[in-house]
Amino acid sequence: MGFGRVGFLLYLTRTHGIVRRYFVVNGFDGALTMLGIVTGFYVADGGDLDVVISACLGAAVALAMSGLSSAYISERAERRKALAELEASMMADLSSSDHGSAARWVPLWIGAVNGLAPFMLSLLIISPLGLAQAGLTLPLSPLLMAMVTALGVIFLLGVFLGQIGRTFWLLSGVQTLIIAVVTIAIILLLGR
Amino acid sequence: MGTQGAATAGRLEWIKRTRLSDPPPRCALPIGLDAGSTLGPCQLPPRVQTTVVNLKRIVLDVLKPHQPDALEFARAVAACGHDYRVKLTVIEMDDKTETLQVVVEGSDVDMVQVREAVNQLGGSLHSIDEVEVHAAADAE
Repeated sequence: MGFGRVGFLLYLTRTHGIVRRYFVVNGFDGALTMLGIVTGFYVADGGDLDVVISACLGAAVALAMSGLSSAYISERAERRKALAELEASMMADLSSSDHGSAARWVPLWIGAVNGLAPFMLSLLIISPLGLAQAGLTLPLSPLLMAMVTALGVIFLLGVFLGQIGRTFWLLSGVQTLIIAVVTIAIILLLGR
Repeated sequence: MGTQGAATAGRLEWIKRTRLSDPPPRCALPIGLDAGSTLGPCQLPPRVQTTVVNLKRIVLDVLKPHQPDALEFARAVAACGHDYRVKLTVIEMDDKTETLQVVVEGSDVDMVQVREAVNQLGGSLHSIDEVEVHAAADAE
């Protein structure tokens, strides 16, 4: 199934906005969770990189599975309900039409986006840890590099939101960055 | 709206073959030749006239969901042929559906494909309200 077909079925069900929202919401969840874990290890004076990476990967996989299953189950129910209402209005079976295809495929795509967004962003955030473990020399400590990467990812998510809402991109980016900084501050305070 | 049923919504394309004459009689074998000879029975093709009836214009009453919109719907129907002209008029809007009058014109409109396109997009063909066909004799 090509991207054109995917786009058409998303248009048919008017779920472009839902996919975008899931990407941002769960992506933000993933980035902030990674930031929290990495900051926690930083407060605890680091630790073995293997342990940090394993903890982060475990959380990333759990976020991915949670996002995938929850979005798929809820969207499947929503799409089935919408299709049943449409069939009642049309007084026809639409299961073999594009609407039927959309009811079957759109929940899968939404689930995939909701699951992959936190997973991919988490991998990006913990990539400095992997690079350090592979022997690459980083300008900062691996945990600090991961925290900086997380802040960058969260800022970019804010910029993306700003572009969607047609607001000033820098303001939107800074807003999400403030949330991340406040999170770090709370963890640092609790860790003392 | 028309009351023609599903039967009239079928393929509106008929080919009527009229045999103008019986096959020519077998040739008499020349004296001294048998049936296996290269100068055997004549196999001249029968003369056949074909009358092709082309669907030039059809007016459909269609019920469809709001999505895809009228533009996408008309495009999908027009894409069924290389020279189709489609005029779509929204007759009535309801909560989840809309009733359309779809006029399809072309040199030879394939009603089967048009119906499939309508169904694929979630539409339902209610009736055929007008039909214009042209017959053309074509000798083979």
